Amino acid sequence: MNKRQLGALLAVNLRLVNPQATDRYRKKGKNGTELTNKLKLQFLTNTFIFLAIYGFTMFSIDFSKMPGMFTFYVGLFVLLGISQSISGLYNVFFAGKDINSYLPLPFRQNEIFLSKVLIVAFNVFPFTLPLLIAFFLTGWHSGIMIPVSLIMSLVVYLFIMTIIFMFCALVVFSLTKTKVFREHQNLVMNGLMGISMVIAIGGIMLMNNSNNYTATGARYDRSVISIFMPIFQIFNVPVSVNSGISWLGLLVLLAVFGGILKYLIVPQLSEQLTTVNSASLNRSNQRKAVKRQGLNANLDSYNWQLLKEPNLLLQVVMNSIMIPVIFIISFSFAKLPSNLPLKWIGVFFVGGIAFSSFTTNQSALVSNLISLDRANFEFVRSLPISMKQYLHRKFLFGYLMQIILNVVIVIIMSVVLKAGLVMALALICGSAWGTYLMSLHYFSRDYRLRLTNWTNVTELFNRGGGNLGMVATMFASVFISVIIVVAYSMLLINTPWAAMINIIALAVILVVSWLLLRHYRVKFWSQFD
Amino acid sequence: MIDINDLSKSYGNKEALQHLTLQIKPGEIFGFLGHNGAGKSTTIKNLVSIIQPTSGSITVDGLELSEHRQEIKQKIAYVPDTPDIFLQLTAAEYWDLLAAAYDLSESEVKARRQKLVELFNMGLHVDETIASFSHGMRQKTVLIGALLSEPDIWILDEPMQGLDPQAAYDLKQLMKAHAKKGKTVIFSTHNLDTAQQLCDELAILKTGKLIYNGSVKNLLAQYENESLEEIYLQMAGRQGDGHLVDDIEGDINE
Repeated sequence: MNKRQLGALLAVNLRLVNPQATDRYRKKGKNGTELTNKLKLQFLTNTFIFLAIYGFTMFSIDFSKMPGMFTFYVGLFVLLGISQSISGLYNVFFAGKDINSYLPLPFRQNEIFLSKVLIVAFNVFPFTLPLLIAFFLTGWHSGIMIPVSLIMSLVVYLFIMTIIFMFCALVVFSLTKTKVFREHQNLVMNGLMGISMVIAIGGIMLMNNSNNYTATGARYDRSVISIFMPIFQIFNVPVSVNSGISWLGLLVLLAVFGGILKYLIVPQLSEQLTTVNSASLNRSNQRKAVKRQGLNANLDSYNWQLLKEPNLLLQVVMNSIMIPVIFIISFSFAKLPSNLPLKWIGVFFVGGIAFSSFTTNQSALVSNLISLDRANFEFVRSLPISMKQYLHRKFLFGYLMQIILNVVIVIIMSVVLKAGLVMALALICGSAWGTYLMSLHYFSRDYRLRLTNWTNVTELFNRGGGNLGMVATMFASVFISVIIVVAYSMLLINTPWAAMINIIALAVILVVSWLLLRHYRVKFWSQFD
Repeated sequence: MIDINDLSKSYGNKEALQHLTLQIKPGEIFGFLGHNGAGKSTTIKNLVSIIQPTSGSITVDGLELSEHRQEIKQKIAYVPDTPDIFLQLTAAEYWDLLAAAYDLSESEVKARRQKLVELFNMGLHVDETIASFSHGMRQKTVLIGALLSEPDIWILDEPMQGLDPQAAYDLKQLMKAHAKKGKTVIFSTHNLDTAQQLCDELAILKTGKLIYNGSVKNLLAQYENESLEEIYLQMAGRQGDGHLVDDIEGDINE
């Protein structure tokens, strides 16, 4: 392993996944090693901030007395880690355009491999940090000294994440060796990511529904997921045979996956990447000619083609739906009462708006459509067409895509939660309106932060605050939404003026909406008049 | 010495390269000529390990490329046909990356880098991102990166594209000097004057097939009183449709 080469590759990749922060530091005159150190420091600082936020949220849960809840959390975030890692690994090794630039250079295979996997790790860590907190809290509540519990939880967290990365790398690299993959690359990878996502969502829903709350002492707990119990034992009974066997199990898994990667995958990395690269060039780029009438029809067709960026759609679906859903499941414990009277319609409408604010985030399609244009965007400016019309068409296209996704989920949620027809309609309408407002926000943000020279869609998702920023926004949205919905509900329950409260709520929504619409009309759309 | 043996490359049903066999000797400037899609870049991408051939083999100094990629890459400097790479890096960061890739020490590259930066007039732009550069400046950045390490073989895919006349002239001089030291320069070009000025040996490709391999001198000798452009167009150009330009010009005039 050549540390200098690994360092150089990591430095490049850090810039790639943090384009906005890189620009910000460059404007402050930072370059080279200094810039790399700043980016590393930023990652560490953000990680600590998030640990504090997760810690604050989860502080009150005594996992040591709730093995079911512990294993539920582990299962939840392991599944999330797996699906994120599979898409991340595929993205950096096979879908990113930068890998072609490395192929002719004499970097060693293990350095390219490690630098790319580390970048995937940087992206996956923010989503899986609750695992670390759960480990620490379990150890601490079980009577382990704080420093020891900290070290143990960090080691087990890193072991588990390494096993996840190695397992996923094995899946992705084994699959890309097959003939079927070479001939149908996009189909196979979309299939794999689709399956991993379905397994993750299915697994989460299954775990969430298997909450036959069983009494353990005075507390209520979920059913234990036995496959993750060894991890619980490491922290709950650290000095025991079971704990020792669990440690051994983790070490064996590490050794087995590490060995397979070291001897079977990494030595053939360049050869495999070159082969996949050749295969991707083999595919026909011909498309059946369709005659379209008018500019709008042609723009719609063009925008539709932008979605065919490999891996984009699944990443979008994953980030804009799966992650919010997981966060809602894991951080909210509210249950929906049945047979709600009509006065609750406003709460459901507000709930719909809140839901759309989780799912319409910086990873949504509408939030990236302008940047997906790449250099075309600047070229379009030179054409004799109205920029306002061009962007408006793009916005409508993105909004339509987003609303389809959101409404489908809201309908599924309404069916699962057995919400009545009227409440379901209120939820759908709220979601549609919220999606519109959020789409406006993220579309103008995309214009403001537009990045047209990206090599990998992850760079687009990481604009602004990056992955950590996305999680922060989601947390803030969940937090504020819960406060608003709970306060609204409390007022309805505890006061006799339900109609008056609903009218005031409607007025607030109208005023806020009008202010937002006016803001985006003046600040965004008017610049294209 | 580079030996290309019966090299073929297909993209789906399209045969981009068909049974190419040729030899490139040290001390030679070797040029690939051909229309767009003739197979020049496909040959070069095979040489620099970006793609793999469908069949055939390449050996460099007796080493089989498919088995010794790492060693062979260390001997090659490559300039791609489009210089739009590592756009998020500054020029200086890009050169640092290449220095790390070729494992060159700071002292080894410092003086050479400074001279190259001066030669290509990039002094004011070393700390700017490649994304902010014009096509020509990107080309210069990539060229400086390739020339930093002084490897034995230069493989340059249309290297003059976008360069200003001074930079193009300087690059030609560098290529000549490199070959004079007994090292190899392989390049592709659409510019026949450049090919005539520089090449010791030529390969002309047409729809993936080699239609000429030999020296420029021999080629000119075969067609007396004809320029390289005329000869090239006779060999690789369209047949029997000289009226097309007249047709278009006529339309424009109407």
